Amino acid sequence: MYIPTPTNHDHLLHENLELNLKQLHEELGYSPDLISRHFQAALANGRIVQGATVYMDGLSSSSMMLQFLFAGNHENDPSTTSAELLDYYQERVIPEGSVHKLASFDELYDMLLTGNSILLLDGCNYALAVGTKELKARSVEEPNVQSVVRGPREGFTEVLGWNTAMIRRKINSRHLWFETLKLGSVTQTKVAIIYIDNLVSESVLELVRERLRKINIDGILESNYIEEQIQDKIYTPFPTIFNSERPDVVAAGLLEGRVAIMVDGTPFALLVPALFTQFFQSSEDYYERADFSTLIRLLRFFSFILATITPSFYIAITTFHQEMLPTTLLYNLAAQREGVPFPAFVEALIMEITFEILREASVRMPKTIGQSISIVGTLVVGQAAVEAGLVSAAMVIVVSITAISNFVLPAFNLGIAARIIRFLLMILAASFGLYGVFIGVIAIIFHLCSLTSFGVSYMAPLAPFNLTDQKDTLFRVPFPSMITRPKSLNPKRLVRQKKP
Amino acid sequence: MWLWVGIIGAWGWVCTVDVPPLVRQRKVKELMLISVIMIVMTAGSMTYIYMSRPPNPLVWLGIWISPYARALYSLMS
Amino acid sequence: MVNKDTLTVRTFSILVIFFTIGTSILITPAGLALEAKQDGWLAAILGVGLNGLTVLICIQLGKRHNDKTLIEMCHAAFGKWAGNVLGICFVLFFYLLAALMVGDLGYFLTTQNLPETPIEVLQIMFVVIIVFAVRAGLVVYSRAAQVFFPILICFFCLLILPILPKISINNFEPMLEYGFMPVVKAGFSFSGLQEMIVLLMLYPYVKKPASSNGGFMGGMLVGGIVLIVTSMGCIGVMGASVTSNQLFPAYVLAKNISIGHFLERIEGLMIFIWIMSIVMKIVITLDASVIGLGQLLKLKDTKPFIIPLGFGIVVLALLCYPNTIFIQDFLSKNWAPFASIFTLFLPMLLLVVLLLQKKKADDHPVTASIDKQNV
Repeated sequence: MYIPTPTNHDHLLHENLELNLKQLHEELGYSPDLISRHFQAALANGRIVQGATVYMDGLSSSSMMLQFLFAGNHENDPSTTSAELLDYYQERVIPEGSVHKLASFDELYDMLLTGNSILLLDGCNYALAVGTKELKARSVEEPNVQSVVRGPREGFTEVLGWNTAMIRRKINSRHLWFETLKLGSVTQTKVAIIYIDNLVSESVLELVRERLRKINIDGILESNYIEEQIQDKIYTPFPTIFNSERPDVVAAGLLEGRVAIMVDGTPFALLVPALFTQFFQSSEDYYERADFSTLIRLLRFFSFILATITPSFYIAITTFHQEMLPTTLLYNLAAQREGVPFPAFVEALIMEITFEILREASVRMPKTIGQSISIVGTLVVGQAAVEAGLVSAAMVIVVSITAISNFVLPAFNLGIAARIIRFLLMILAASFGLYGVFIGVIAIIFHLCSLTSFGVSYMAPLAPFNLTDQKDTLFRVPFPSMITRPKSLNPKRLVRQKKP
Repeated sequence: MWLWVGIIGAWGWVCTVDVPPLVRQRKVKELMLISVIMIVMTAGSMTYIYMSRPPNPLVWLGIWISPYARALYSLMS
Repeated sequence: MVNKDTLTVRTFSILVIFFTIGTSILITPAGLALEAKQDGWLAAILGVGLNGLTVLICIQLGKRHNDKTLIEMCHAAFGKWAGNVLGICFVLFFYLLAALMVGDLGYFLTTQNLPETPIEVLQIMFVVIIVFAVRAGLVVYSRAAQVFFPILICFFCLLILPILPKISINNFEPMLEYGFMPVVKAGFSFSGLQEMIVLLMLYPYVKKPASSNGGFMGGMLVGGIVLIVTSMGCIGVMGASVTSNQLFPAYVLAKNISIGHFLERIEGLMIFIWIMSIVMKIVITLDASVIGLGQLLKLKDTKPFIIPLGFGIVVLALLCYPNTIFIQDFLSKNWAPFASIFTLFLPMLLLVVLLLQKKKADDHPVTASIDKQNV
């Protein structure tokens, strides 16, 4: 007979049922969704024992517990004390998967508030927690931020148990291991660390465990709360942790030897370590042909460069280096800029800030109005601004190209980095021309090279250059040639498949 | 004028980023060395700003090297 | 403090390539064309050969004492006092070199590209980036060099390929019109601008396989080829007399690029090549002088000194280079012999002394064992 040893000796359960219930209701603030249902059970020696089952309405389903308590057949009950009765219930009666004994109030609150039902008997100083979770949560839908043309359309939901189950469905190996911990002193959010045991790099795993243990915050509401606290360096616009809403992306990352971190309450899972080239990859690259994916990936790199330096190049060339433009273009631009009262930098700044305002506004707009605002905003406002003589037409084109290239990037957090850097480069271009832009680019590259993501150099495999890893960075080789996993991540097993 | 920006920037940068950890660890030798270098450099920049023909280290070097340089080049022509 | 075996051979070769190209790609064709007229390219080849000799000396020094930097080798060769004096000379040479290169870049931008910007501003901006890079450490800027390298190749091809049709062979004739001596003189001046000895300060950090020489020679050859091609391009397109008149002939060469008659005058983009290579060279030189200072004064952590030293570079550059005439005069008359003291003669001296010391050390165990036998 297993008698649990409580860790916190101050708050042990009392033997008296009424005392327990009174303390329970009091400490939960007489919450109206705490339902307690009394019942009576008969012992073998004819005594009647008072009992109660307690659960939170909305988190657990009441029917299961009450069904066995009232409709079950208890004639073969050999117990003579309430403790024995509780053991009898645990071992022979309750038709439910997860049943725990608890002896302290802390454990009881833990179990009660995550959806378990608690069974208390008068005269017994421990209780049973039965897993009767029935959550009302969003069902599995297509992720709307990271959608693909071809490929699975499942996305994670807010329930950690369902998400880990989705990953188990993708990776049916016994080497897929989870570790859970509770973070957040008030929210007690469950966080799971997921990895494939015989592939993951031990150093990364140790770092993840260590950094998660160091988190000391009152609540974890989204994976970003964790991301900001475990990343390597705080003051950088570039993301060093990858997040995704799709189980296939997470599964692919796990197969390369990365560690996934999932947080209860948010569908976005974190993948570490994250490399710079990873933010240009989308799961669609692997679901379409290799040559097409290579071209699209090159297009993404190119559009990242476009999104970052196009306005600064325009400002630098029109202000300092007019000789670079072909003559006819130069005439057109000069004619356009004749009527504009502002220098190129102020023009660019106005248009860029207007565009950022429009973008933020369209995020919060209700869907029905959102469509019309986008057309109105960009075309009409842009056109009207040109005709009013506030900006030149070329500027509108430059800003639109920049904005559209920004959306080509599959990872939203890298797009944020591009937006921030763009303004820095614009200021440098307006002051020092192309020299300023180049100094800015060199400074950004130095900064990128100094970043690490959980011990792995951020710019790997570009620097330190690794020839075998190049098969999946700028271009994607067909699957028969993808023999090794990325060496930069240092997985335990390098070879993925046999050579064809 | 812009050199003043540079001087103030350099002093500010050194004092905010490098000096506090050294003060905390009481590394007197390094602090003395840093201040010596900064003072010499500030003095050098003052001479550049205020003197009309500031002293030129390359001219001093030229005085020492030019006989040897001329000899070496005359070997080759 | 960086561990040994941080850089791979490949990374080190890329650093060597950037270091060789450095400022030389911008200013050497002028000096070559001035001395050797149309044989400037022959002089460039000779200069690269002379650099090869320097690199061989460095490799020999590196092989024998492959965990010591240059300063430590001075200590080992000459003992504490003389070694310290020699070390101080080397550190001051590296520091002066870094300052002169910053000055070069400042004058390049002020005269060619941004004439109305005060030169201090350009130099300060530049030095801020360099100080950031040196503070970040060897690992970071070697990674950055690996990222810059493909960009450098791209831009260099963009520079050279469009001007190849414009080269006229007449500009190279007659060959050796004035004899071989001007070629030797020009080659010697050329090699004075490379200063490969600085890389010996970084050599201990390279992972050296037992057989090869650590990528030093290969990187130097590739950089040399780039320089030779640039010189040939300058002399071939513009002729020797025009080239010798320019302060920065490669920039004038870039003005000749015309792709399809619509992409012309893109020399503003080409300055990226020179900014990149000069940044890397100054970063390596400043890092070498900081490491040297740390080893001379027995400092454990050299990071706090980078900002004062970087600030000093700007001041020194402003003081040393008052105008472009002075630069031309000094570089053509005095620089190559001065640099050759430090890049050629002193390393040779070091190598000879270290070889003699090793021989003495090899002799002693033999005599010791003989003594034991006699007893």
